[in-house]
Amino acid sequence: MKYYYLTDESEKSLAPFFSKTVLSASFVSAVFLGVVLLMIWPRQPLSDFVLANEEPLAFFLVFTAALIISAYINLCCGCGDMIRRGYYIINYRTDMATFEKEIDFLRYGLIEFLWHTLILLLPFLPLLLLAASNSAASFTIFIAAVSILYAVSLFCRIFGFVVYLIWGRMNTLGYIVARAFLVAYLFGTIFLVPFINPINLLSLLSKSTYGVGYRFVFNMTVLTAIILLLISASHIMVKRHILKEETR
Amino acid sequence: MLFTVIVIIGAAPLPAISASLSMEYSLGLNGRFQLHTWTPVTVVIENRGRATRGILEVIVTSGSEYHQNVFQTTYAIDVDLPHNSRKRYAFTVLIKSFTHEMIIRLKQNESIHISQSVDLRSHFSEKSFAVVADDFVSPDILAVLPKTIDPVNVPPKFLPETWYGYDSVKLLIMKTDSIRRLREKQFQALTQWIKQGGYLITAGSLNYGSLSDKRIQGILPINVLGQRRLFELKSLNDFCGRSLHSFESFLVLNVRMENSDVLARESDIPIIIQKHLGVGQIVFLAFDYNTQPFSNWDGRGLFWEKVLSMRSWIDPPRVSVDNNKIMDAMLANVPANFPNSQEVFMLISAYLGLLWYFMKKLRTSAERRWRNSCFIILIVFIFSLISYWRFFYPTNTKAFTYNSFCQLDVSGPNNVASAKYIIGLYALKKSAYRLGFGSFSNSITHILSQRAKKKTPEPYIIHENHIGQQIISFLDKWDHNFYSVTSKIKTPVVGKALRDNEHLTLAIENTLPHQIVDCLIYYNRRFVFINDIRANTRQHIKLKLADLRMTEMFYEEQAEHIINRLNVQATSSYLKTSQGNLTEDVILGIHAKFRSKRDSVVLMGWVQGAIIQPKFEQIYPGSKSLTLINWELPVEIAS
Repeated sequence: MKYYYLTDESEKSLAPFFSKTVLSASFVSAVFLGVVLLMIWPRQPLSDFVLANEEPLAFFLVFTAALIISAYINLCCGCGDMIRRGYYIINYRTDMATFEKEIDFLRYGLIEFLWHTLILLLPFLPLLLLAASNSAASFTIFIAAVSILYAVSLFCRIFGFVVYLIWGRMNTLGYIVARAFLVAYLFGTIFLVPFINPINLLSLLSKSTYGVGYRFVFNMTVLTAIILLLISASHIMVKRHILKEETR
Repeated sequence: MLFTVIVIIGAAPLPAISASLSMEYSLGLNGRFQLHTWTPVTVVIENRGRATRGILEVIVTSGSEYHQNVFQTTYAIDVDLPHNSRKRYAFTVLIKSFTHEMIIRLKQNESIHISQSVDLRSHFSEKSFAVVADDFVSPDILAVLPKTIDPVNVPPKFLPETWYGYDSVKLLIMKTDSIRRLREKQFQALTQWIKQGGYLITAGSLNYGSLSDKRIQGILPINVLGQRRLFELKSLNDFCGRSLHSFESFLVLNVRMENSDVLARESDIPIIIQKHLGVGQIVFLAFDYNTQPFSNWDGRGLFWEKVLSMRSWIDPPRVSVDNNKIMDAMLANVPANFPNSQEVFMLISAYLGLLWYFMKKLRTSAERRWRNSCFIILIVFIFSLISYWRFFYPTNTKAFTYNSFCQLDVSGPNNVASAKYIIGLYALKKSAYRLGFGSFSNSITHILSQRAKKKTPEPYIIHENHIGQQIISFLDKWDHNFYSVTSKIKTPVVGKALRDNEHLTLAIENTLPHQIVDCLIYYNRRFVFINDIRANTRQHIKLKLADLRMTEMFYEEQAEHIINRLNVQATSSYLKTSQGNLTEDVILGIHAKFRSKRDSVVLMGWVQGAIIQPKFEQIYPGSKSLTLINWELPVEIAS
């Protein structure tokens, strides 16, 4: 089994760990999150919140910001937007098959995605802990919120990969479909199907609303089911590509 | 066959518990109560069925729908009713509104066995009460009592079992024989009430055996010399402007009482004797007010007017401090607070700086890629740990905290102290709590800060059981509740003040484990700072009278100088914030109250600790406590 995604930084890798683009995106995201946290850090004393019976919004806002950022970066990684722009890509404007497309998905791509999504979330961890402490979120709520971040990021990553498998890396339609999906999923579902919307769920978690546990389980079950479907789809498409390449 | 019979008997429904229970109640003082005062409610339950246990509840609703502040307070007592039993349960409830019915019910595991609603409209009064507590009273006596108060006759068995149950009583008229027959709890309540400023008029009768009762001797140390037969009481003319004459002779008791004042004397027989008990007073009448010739004397109205006017001599030492100012000081010092934003800024900057440094290295040098990656993970790990231990964990452990403020007013060298205790509970997470204050009954009520958005507190139950009273309630996320408790406690400071030609000497024993700080003495219209009074010590404080005379007399503008001297701006501690908020009210209150009392000295000091200890069940919240002591001491003149 080869793990090129760990070291390879060529145009053959969708989003390697040590790629400059991914590192920059990861750092800029952390800075952005840090700035958000500092901006919304309460200046008034805690007693004002207690008196008004209102909780600080740090938990909800920072986790939502982290969710949007992480979902977008992972979507881009899945779509192949973070591939290193090397000699081949700049000069020949055609798609080059990546390792993710050439190696069995369950043996390579899926493992890469699982790890990569987790590692991209890591720089957020101290900031997320600070935000959770500000809103006095319990450890259970914190873990639940982080698992939402991870699940949604993975979902976006695999969805992006499916788009990449269908339309390729350079396709305008694929580019639009991927972004439209992100907007529809993160924001459109707030109004249309709020019970599967992750931002809505984060809001409920931050308020510890009664029954939020069931809602969390439901949401995660739906998300896991969709992720499994996308994994199956990706696996089939990669398999077909490998077979096509072999017959060629 | 036998099995069938057993099954049939087993399956037959047992008679409902409620069918065998009956309930009677007595509301207020013979069915009357004054709004916004604590009112006694006595419930008698008779159980003719099988033994049962449960919780007896009295639910009082206050507020109005218009103001959207309708709120129910539940007072509860554990009840145990054996077969064929009849038990009496006494409550003291605060009634703030007559528009809602009061509910009395017996509950067992959420099922209500018996319930009764009481319409309060016909029971309320706007006046305080003059209570004549006797089983047999001629209606005449009620008719001649002053019109400024509402006269009621209350059977002694329905008198309150708590001192604050006398909240609406201005004058209590009760014979010593009735006092002797009071239940122990009732007697203790009566004694406490008098000590805190109550007013009892009592009289002996022909049967004066009750006067030798041990309990009565404790409050009224009377020595009966015998009885005298008289035809007139001329001394009443000096007392109330009308003397009493009779064609037939009548008996008066010839008694003596130590440490008392004789207000009317017929030759050598004291007719009206006044005895101070704590801050309150007892007036003893040597004649029977219920029998002739007093019962048909035309001067009764004047007599009772005069008796009532003597109540104004009772002057509890309480200096009133605005609850909102206390709550503001408490809110400014909630034991939990957000981490400093500068500290958070430093942490985030350091984290992002290190992250940037190693990411840059990772991007530029390919050789040490793995080592730099490990550094990045290490940085994330270390900063996550810092965030957790420095911020996340402390916030979670301080999710439920409280602070308290106690104003202790003490009068005399060694009296019971009157404590106004306010506790503020703060929750960052939804928390249920059970809170008690010891085995004594205290008047407990919620208070709302003017700054708070909510118009009612979370529902709560004041539950009385074998360990005393407990507040059972919960707090929502990011919520607060304030409770005010009025209590009588043993004074933690004892001593005396002595004046000679040159010095005013205070001999003070502080029994508290905390020192009394920022002490001020008020004497002869002057405020003087004195040294802190050390914990658990007896010490003498000597003030030169010449120096005192040199000090400028207090005037209202001086309050600011005193506050400045307390250095309230120096730190934002609970002590300093409270001093900043409350000192002006307290010193102006002391000045207004004691300016004319040249024979007393007032000591005002602060204790950074709790005198009343709240007891929480199962939770151990972080806390801050502060006590303000106002102690009035009579000044003795050295011979």
